[in-house]
Amino acid sequence: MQAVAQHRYTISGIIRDKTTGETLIGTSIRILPQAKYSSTSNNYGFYAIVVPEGDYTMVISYTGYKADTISISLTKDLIRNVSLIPTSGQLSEIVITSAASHDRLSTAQMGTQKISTAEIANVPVFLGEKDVIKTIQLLPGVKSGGEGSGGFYVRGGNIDENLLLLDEVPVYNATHLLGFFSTFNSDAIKDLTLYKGASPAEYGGRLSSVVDIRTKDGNNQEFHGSGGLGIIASHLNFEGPIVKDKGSFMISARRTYADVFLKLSNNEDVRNSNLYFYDVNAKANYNLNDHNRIYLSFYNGKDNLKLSDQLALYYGNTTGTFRWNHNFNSHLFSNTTLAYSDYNHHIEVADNSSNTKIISKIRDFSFKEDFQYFMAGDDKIKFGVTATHHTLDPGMVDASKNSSYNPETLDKKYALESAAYINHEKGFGKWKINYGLRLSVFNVFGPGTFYKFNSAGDATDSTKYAAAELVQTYINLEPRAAASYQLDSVSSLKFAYSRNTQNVHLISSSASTSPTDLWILSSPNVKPEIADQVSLGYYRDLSHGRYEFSSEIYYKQLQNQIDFKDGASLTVNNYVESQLLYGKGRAYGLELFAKKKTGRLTGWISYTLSRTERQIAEINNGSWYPARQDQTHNLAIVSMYQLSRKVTLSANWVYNTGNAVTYPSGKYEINEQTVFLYAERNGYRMPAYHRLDVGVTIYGKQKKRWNSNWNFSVYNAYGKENPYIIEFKNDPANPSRTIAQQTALFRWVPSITYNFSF
Amino acid sequence: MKTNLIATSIIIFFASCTKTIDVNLRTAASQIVIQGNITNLGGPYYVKINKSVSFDADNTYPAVSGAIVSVLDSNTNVRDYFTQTGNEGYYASNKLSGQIGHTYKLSVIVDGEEYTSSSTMPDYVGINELTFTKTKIFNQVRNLPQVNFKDPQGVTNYYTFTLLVNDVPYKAFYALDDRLTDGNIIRQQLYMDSAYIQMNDFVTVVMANVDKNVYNYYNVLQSNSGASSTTPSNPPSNISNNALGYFGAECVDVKSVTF
Repeated sequence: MQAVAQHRYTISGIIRDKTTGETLIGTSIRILPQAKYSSTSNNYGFYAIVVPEGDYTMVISYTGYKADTISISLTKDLIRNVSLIPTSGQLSEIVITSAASHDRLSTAQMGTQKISTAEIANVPVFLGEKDVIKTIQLLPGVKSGGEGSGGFYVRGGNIDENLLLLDEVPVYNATHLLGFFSTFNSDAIKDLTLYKGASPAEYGGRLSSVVDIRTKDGNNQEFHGSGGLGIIASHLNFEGPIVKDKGSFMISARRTYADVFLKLSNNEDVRNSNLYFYDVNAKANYNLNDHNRIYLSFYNGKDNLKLSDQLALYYGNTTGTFRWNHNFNSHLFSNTTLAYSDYNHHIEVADNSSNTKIISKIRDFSFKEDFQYFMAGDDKIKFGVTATHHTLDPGMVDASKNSSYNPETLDKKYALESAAYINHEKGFGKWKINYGLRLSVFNVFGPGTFYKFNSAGDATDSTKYAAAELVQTYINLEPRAAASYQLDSVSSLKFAYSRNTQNVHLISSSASTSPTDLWILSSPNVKPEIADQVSLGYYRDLSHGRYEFSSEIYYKQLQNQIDFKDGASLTVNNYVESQLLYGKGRAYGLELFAKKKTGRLTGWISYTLSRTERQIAEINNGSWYPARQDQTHNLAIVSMYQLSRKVTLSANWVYNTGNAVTYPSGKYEINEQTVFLYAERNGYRMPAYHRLDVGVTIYGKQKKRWNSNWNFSVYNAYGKENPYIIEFKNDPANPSRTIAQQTALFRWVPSITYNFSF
Repeated sequence: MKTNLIATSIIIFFASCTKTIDVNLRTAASQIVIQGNITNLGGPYYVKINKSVSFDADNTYPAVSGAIVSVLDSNTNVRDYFTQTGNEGYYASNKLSGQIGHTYKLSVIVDGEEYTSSSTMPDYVGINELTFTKTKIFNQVRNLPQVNFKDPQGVTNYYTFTLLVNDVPYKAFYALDDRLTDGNIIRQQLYMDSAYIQMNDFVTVVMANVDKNVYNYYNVLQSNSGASSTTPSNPPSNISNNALGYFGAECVDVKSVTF
C-alpha cells in the first residue's frame, strides 16, 4: 500500500453537545473522500483517527444532532474538539438511536442496541415513570420477568446473567418495589448500550448480556434543573458548571410517596405500614487539562417495605466510581477506574414479644485499567486489566431476647475476580472484524471452612483455611469474535461467536426472583458458569434510511447452571451449597426488528421466536425441560405519533406466550388433605400475556427559562386480567372438587405526570 | 415461607382480582398411595392404601384392598401383620406398640409388587403450652394458635404439627426444623390463611417428632401450598417402588385448649 510511504498524522478530540457540554458517546466520525477512515467516539466522547498527510473533509454525525463538517489540512497531529447542535427541542428525553445508519450496517458488533438521549419520553410506562430497563424489554431477545418480579431475561439467560454497569460498576439488584421500577433514574442517564451476549472482550463476568449505562456529566455551560411530579413518585435533577467549560456536576433524586398517603389513614396498621423507595445519583467531572479528566459518580438507592408491625423488608444498592481519563498522546487513550459497589437486604419479622432480623450483603472493591490504541484508519486495539475483590456476607440472624431464633453469623466469603483482555477492530474492504480474548481468573480465599457434600446433601468433609489462604482458582479463556460483510450500500451480513463466564451467582427460585435472593460465589463445589453463543445477522436500511430492519439468529449453550432442591433451606445456611443442583442449558431463537425513524409516526416492531431449556439430572428425570422464561413468541409494537407541535400520542402493545409453569397432573390424599401430583417440570403454559399502554404528552408554551409538559397514560388500557399466580385448590363451594384460580394484579392503571425543566 | 409472605404482600398492596379459570390438564397414570404412621401412643396403628385420580375427578380415591401389610420392629425383630378393616383401604395393626428409638420397617404387597419403607422414632419433645397470638393486619384481627415448647440443645430435631379446630382438621401442612433455633424456647405460630380462630373454638394441636425423611416430605408440602411463587414439586416419598405417600414413626404430644 502506498500509504505506508506517506506520513501519517492523527486527528483526535472530544465530541460534545454544544448547549450542555455533555460528551457524546458513539458519534460517527468520517474522513472524506476516503470513507475507509472512520471512527466513533468512545464512552468518554473521545475519538482518534490516523490518516495519511493531506486535505480532507471531516463529517461528524449523531442522531438527534445537526451533522458538522470541518475542513482539515493534515500536516501534523491535530486536536479538534467538536460541539454538535441538537436538532430537537426536547433535550432531556431519551431516544433509541442506532448510531448513524452506516455504522449500524458496517460495524462488526452485533446483538447490540443503543439507547441515548431524546425519544422514549413518550413511550407510555407504568405509573408514569420513564424507565430505560422497561424500555429495553420491548426489544427483541429481551424478556420481561413479569409484573411483580424484577429483572429481565436476555436470550434465555437467567436474571443474574445480565451485567448491569452504572458508570462502570456492577449493580447487583436493578429493581425497586419488587420489580415494578428499575433502580436507574432516567433523569440521570445519558446513554445505555445493551449487548446480547456477543460483547467485546472488555466486558466480562456475566453470561448473557451487558447493559452499559453512563450517567450524564452535567451541563458545563449554565445551571439547569428539571423534574417531574407524578402520582406515585417525584424526581428532581439539577446540573451546572463547576468551572465553565472545565467541569460540571449533576445530581438527580427520586422518591415515591405512597407511604405519605398511608400515614393519613385513620387505621393504625396502615399508618404503620411503609412502601417507598428513593434513589440518588450524583456525579462531578473536571478537565484538569487537555490530557487529563477526572470523574466522580455516586449512587444510593433504598427500598423500604413494611407490612404493619409484622414484616419488613429493606434492600438497596450503593455504588461509587472514580475515573481518570488520560491521553498519553493522540494514539493512546486510557481510563483508570476505582469503584465500590454493595448490595444488602434485610428482613425483619416480629411477633408480640420478639423480633428477628435476617441480613445478607455483598460488597465489591474494584480497579480497572483500560487502554485504547488508535492505528491507521479504523484499526483500533483495546486492552486492559481489571480486578475486583468480593466480600460476601451470606447471612446473619439478629434475634431479640425472646426470639425463637439463635443469633448466628455465617462465615464471610472472599474472592478476587480478575481479568486481562485484548480486542482488535479492523476493516478490510467490505469486511470488518472485531476479535479478542479475555483471560478471567477467579481466586477463592480464606478464612473460612469449606465443605464437601454427598448426594444426600450431608457434609462429608470440611477443610479450614486461614486468612488470605488460597482455596480454589478457576481460570477461563474467553474468545470473542465478530465480523461484518457489507453486501451493498444498504445491507450487510454479520457473524459472531463469544464465550462468557460467570463466578457470582444468584440463587433464585426458578419460578421468580425476589430482592432477598441469595448471591453466592464460585467455590470448590460451585463451578463457574460458562456460555457459548453463535449468532448470525442480516441488517438492512430501507427507503434511504427512513426505516431500518435487522434480523438475527442465535444458539447458546450454558454449562454449570444452578438450581436448588425441592424444599431447600437457603436462608442463613452454612451448608447452602448442599441445597444446590447443577445442570446445563440451551437457548436458540430468531429475532426480527423493524423501526421507523422519521416522520410524524415513529416507533418499532420487535418479534422474537425462541426456545430456552434446562437439563438438571435431579429435575424432570434428567430430561430437558423448558425454563420458566421460555416464551415461544414475543412481540412488541411501540409507536409514537406527533399530532401537532404540542401534542404527542403514543401506544405500545406487547404480546407473549405465557411462561412455562408446573401444573398438577393428578391428585391424592395425605392426612385427609388434597395433595397434587406433578408429572413434569414446567410442562404447562400460563395463558398468553398481552397488554396495551397508551399515553399522551401535551407540551406547554416554550418559554425562555421554563419548559413543561403534562403526560397522561394508562397502563393496561383494555384491562386484560393477566394472571400473576394460578393456584390449584379445593373448591370452597364444593369440598369434593378442586379448582384452578387465577389472581391478576391490576387492570387499567392511569397516571398523570407533570414534567418541567428550567 | 419468605417468598410466600412477599407474594402475599404484593397481592395485599395491589388491588388484585381473582377468578376461577378452566385449565386443560393432562392426567398422569393412577399411582398407588401409601400412608402409615406408628406413634408412641398405643395402637392400633393404621396404614392406608389407595390410588391417585385425575385433577378433574371428585376428591374420592379408589381404595386398594387385599394388600398384605406388615411392620417389622427391627429392634425386637418382631413382625406384625396388619388386618384389613371394615373401612376399605385401611389396615390396622394387631400387637404393635411404638417405642422411642426403634426402627420400623414397612412392607406392603399389592398384586405381587412389594413397597417398603423404614422410619425411626425420635426422642420425645412435648408441648409446654398452647397459646394464641393476636395479629391485626389492615383492620382484620387474626387469632392464630401458637405452640410453645423447649427444643433440646445439641441435637437435630424435626417437627410436624397437625391442627384441629373443633375436632375438624385444618387443611395445612406444618413442618419445622431447629437449624436456626436449636436449644431455644420456641414459639411456633401455626399460620392460617382463612377461618382464623374464633371465640370458644376448641383447638387441638398434635406435635410430632419425626425423622428427617418425614420432615422433608412435610416441608415440601408446606412450601407447595398457598400463593407460593416457587415451582411446586412432589414431596419426596420414603417408600420404594415409586409409591406416593410416606411412612413415619412419630413421637407425639397432643394438647387442647378452648379459645
